Amino acid sequence: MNKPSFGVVVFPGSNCDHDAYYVLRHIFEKSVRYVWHKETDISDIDVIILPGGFSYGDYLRSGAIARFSPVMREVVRHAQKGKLVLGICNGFQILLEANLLPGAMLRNASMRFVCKSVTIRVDNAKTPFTSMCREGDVLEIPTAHGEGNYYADNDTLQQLLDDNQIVFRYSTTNGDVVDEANPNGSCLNIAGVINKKRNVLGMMPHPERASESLLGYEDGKKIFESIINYFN
Amino acid sequence: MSQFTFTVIVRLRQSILDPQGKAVLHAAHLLGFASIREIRVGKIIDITIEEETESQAQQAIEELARKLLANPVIEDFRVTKMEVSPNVPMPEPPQLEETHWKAHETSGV
Repeated sequence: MNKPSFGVVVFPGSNCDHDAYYVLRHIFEKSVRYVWHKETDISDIDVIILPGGFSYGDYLRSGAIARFSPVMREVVRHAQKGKLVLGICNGFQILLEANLLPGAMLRNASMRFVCKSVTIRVDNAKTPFTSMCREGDVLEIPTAHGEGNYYADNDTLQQLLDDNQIVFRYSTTNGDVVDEANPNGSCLNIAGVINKKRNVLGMMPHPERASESLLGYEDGKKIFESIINYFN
Repeated sequence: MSQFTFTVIVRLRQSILDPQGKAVLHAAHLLGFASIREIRVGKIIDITIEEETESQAQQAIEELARKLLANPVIEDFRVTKMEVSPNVPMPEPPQLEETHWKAHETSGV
């Protein structure tokens, strides 16, 4: 009952953990619990969410210290079993530092903290996180980060393209992937990537902030609906 | 056991754009340092360690740098042994020349 069960990891400095919890519990009425970063048993959980925020104050590099929190060993095991992991914003940065996804984050090329609504194009709808979208759909989702400038070397980028691992790209509202739509300088306008096994997704925009019409956006719901649908 | 002190310098790889350095360069130009061509910002990490030998100590620091201090996707690092303890107080910073502050005030930075 209530499958899938979600877990939202709480690192010191996470600040979007409650938003993610709220959406899953009160909008989707799913079973969800917080997972303190020192926990070592998450076997009861089907989907792990690494939320946004500033884990460990972004000291050293964003995500660099959180990546060695005790729970991360379990998150890696969880991923190795093929279970789902969604990293949002700082969660995406942690997945990169943990080598669960390729690449790294640099400071925004604009030199500014970017806090605004962006539009992203769905480039791969054949994932557990995007199955309720169609390829080419444009989602409007808020973003808020200072280090979201996705970087990977050319070989890695080519591999991401070849394996269809780029799930979201910053685009215009018409779905054109152009420089003007890129808020942070990311290579290839990348806003979200998935691993080869298609069970670990990292994305910079915040779907949990776009899941209730009261807040002005509902496009983020499609991500959570896709995840839930994957278990039906 | 002996105590050793190392300094690890972490830099963004030369091929990678450094927005932080660019912002500092912009401020330097606003302050009137027109001749400055490039600024890149890195990190200095001072570490004190107890090991049997200096080479064991160096090995441990290099492993730490690879695992935690630097991200090999975007950064390079260099480990050097320091001859003095980092706990020795730093010398007083030199007084900035008056003209620099004037430039600062008028630029409204």
